[in-house]
Amino acid sequence: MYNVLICDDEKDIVSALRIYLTAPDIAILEAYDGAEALEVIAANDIHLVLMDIMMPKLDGISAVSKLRESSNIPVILLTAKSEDVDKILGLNIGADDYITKPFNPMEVIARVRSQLRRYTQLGGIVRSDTILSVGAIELDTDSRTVTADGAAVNLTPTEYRILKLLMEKPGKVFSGNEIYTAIRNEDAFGTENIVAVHIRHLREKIEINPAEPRYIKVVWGQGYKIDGGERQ
Amino acid sequence: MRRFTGSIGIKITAMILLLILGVTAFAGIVGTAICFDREIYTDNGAEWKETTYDNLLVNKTTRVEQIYNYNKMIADENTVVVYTDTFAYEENLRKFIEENIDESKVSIHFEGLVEVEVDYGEGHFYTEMVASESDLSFTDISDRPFEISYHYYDTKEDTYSVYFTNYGEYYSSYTYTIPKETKDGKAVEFVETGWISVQKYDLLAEHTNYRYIMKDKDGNVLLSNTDSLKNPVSYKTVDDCTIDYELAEPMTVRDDFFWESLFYSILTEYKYVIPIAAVVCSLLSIALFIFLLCSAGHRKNDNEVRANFFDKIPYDIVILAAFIGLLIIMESFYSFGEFWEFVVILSFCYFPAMAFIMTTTTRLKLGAVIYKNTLIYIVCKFIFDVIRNLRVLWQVVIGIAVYAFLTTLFIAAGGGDEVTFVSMTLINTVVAVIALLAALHQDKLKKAINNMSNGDYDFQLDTNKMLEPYKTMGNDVNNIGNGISKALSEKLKSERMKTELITNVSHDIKTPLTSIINYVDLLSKEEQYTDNQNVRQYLEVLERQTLRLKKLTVDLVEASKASTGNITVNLDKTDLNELLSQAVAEYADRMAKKGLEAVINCAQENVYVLSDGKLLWRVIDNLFANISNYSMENTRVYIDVRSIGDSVRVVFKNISRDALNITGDELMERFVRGDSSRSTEGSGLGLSIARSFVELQNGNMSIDIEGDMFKVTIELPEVKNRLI
Repeated sequence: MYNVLICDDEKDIVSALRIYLTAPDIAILEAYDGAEALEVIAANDIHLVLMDIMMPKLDGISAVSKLRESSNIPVILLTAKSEDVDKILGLNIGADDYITKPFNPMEVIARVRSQLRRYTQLGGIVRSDTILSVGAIELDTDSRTVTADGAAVNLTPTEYRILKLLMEKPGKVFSGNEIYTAIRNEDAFGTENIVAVHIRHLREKIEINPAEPRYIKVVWGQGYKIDGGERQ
Repeated sequence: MRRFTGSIGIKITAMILLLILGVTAFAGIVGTAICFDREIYTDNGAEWKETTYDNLLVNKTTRVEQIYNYNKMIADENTVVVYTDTFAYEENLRKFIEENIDESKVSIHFEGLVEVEVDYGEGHFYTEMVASESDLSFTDISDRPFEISYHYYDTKEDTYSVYFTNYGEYYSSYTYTIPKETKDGKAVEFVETGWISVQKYDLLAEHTNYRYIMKDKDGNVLLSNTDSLKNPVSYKTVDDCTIDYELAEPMTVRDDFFWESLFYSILTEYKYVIPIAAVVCSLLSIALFIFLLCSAGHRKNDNEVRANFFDKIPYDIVILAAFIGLLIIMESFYSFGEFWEFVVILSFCYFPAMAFIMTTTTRLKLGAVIYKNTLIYIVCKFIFDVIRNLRVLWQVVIGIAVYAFLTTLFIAAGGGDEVTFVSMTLINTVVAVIALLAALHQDKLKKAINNMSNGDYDFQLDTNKMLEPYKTMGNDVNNIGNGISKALSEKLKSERMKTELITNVSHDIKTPLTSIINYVDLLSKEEQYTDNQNVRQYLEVLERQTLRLKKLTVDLVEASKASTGNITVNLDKTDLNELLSQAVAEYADRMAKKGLEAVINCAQENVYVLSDGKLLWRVIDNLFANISNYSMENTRVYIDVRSIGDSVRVVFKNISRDALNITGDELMERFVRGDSSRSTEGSGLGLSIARSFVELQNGNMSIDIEGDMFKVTIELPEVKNRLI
């Protein structure tokens, strides 16, 4: 049983999220400002916090930084502020994920599930030479399997090879041509499209919201790269 | 017509044809003139042939006489008669001396240039030409090659002087002084006969078609190059000799007679063809010339008159080159040795001359003012520009220097005394100081105004030490700057406030919107109500409209930021092909659903532009969204990438689903959409945002609508250097 705390000054949003997230293995707790959230966390065994930023008394950013002094439970910020600077600030002070309003309820559920899996399951995995990992994505070169947030992902051989290439050098930008030559060993002229399509499929399979990918990122006009955790 | 006139191949072919036809026409006209002159048309040329041949033969007869005279130089027992023409060649004189004169009494005087080797140390020599004069004996110069171009003789008391000048390699002359007495004691008499050179060679049967027999009055053969003549023509000489002559039949030797008769036979044979050919070739030449004038300045498949490389050369240089060329031709008129040399020079001159005519025609057609493309104009303009762009101070310094120089010059020329000179200098100095002070102040004012025009309105001119009226002007300039600066900062502030307002409002809208979206979603999951057809329909409307509201709030913030430039732009080298294929991949599904096919035409493999990849993606994202939303289904979308000079042009073309009753510029205004698309999703901000983003990246974007074709053109600065 997971305890999830939803914190937003807008009661309607809290109720809606409660309806969406309620499940046999999830119990919902509610708070309506930052200070109240910290109290609830202190009093209960919370596994995940969904928190708004703009709230009375204590805002989300301050609440998260306070929380991080004593706890490492996953925090997902849920806010109307959609600027890049807001996202970067939120992630830097210790939030694990960031969802902008108005949000897609399904995406919220997926992200909550993902964070819970990571928090509860992934901690104990033994690092091995055959496993490449970036953020919550793990690729086992022995068994040729890929997991994202602990859930198995079913990839085609080409998608697997592209992902492996990207994961071998996290952060490096590969152009369409480079990826094509690396996985096919042929002259790559005029084939960027094929690679671009494979990457998109890969993104759809691995990312919760492919339009705002966390791992497999499109560097527009340069190529593709993989890096851990933070969304663009 | 225009399709081929421009072709360079056609032009060159036309020029070559014009040369050939022109030469033919000229030859034809000359030939016709000769035919008329020689009356070929009236008497078939018989008379002409006779007289021409006669003239030639008389000439030859004179020569036979002279050779005969040379052979009988010893006229009688006491006198040796020498015909001076015999000495046209030094060889003949030397032969005469060897046969008749005591060589020891012959002296030769040399004057001319000789080569002297000069030692300038360390065993090195150089050759120098030195004027020299010397007396030689007859045998001293026996092995000298003879190349004589001029001679004369002079009779003195007891000697004759024969003077030879050699203009060959170096100037040199030899004067032979010959006694008037032979070694046998006979008198030597020089007789001048004129300027006809005599060469036995000319009259040998193997070298001429001329056949002659010369007999004295007793019928003894004196000279001849044949045994018998079939139809001899007789000629009596002053010495009572008879020369019988005729022309060989057929002519075997290519001498004057041969060419004359050949020329004659051609003229007679083609006497009617030649004038016709002359007329036809002349007409064709004129037509070709007109054609070339028409085609000047045109290129293949191009109706416009355009200047080529040659037409851009300053016109005065072209004229100078033409003038020099003309001088060379004129020179060659006087100095050409052989006719064919002249023809070659003329042909070499022909193409430059045609180029000159063509470029002049093109320039006139272009209607450009010819004087502007001259070196003189360009140089004068350059000097003028340099002076104009100098600081006022330096302009005044130059002006004063010229003025002082001129006044001093005039005073000096007018013979002014010291008082005038000193007082003028004093006045000049005072004027110069005042002018320089004024110039300094003007410079300051100029700098202040220039700074303002470059956008630096905060610039303040220090007017404390300035003189009137410049002080007032300076203060006024400062006030203007302050005013503009204030207005500008207020405008910036209000722009910033506007953006902030929009951002805040959008945040405030987002929170209730989130609830609406969520509860509409929850409502749609209440199955007991959604069984009702109407409820389902109403929910769909709610869902669609909330999503639209969501997009509108996002776009509104973006549009406000983009149009006020309130956004960070990181310009970097971006591969346009990579970006486009990434974009096509992003939209592949959406476009496939509508049956749209994207066709990317790119001239090169890699095209790099200087842009912010993320912003450029937002532009292309908006354009693709537009294309997938408003294109007619099952059509193609063309994306052309082309490098044009310093920038890259990307053109998106698609067929609109609905009729477009609006202009491209209107479409890029905020909140404007084609009327019929108002009811569909989208904020009406997409194209406006796209344009603002393109402009933020130093590019520009335009929309053209032709019928149902919707065409978006983006131009961005190209990165050519791959290292950047």
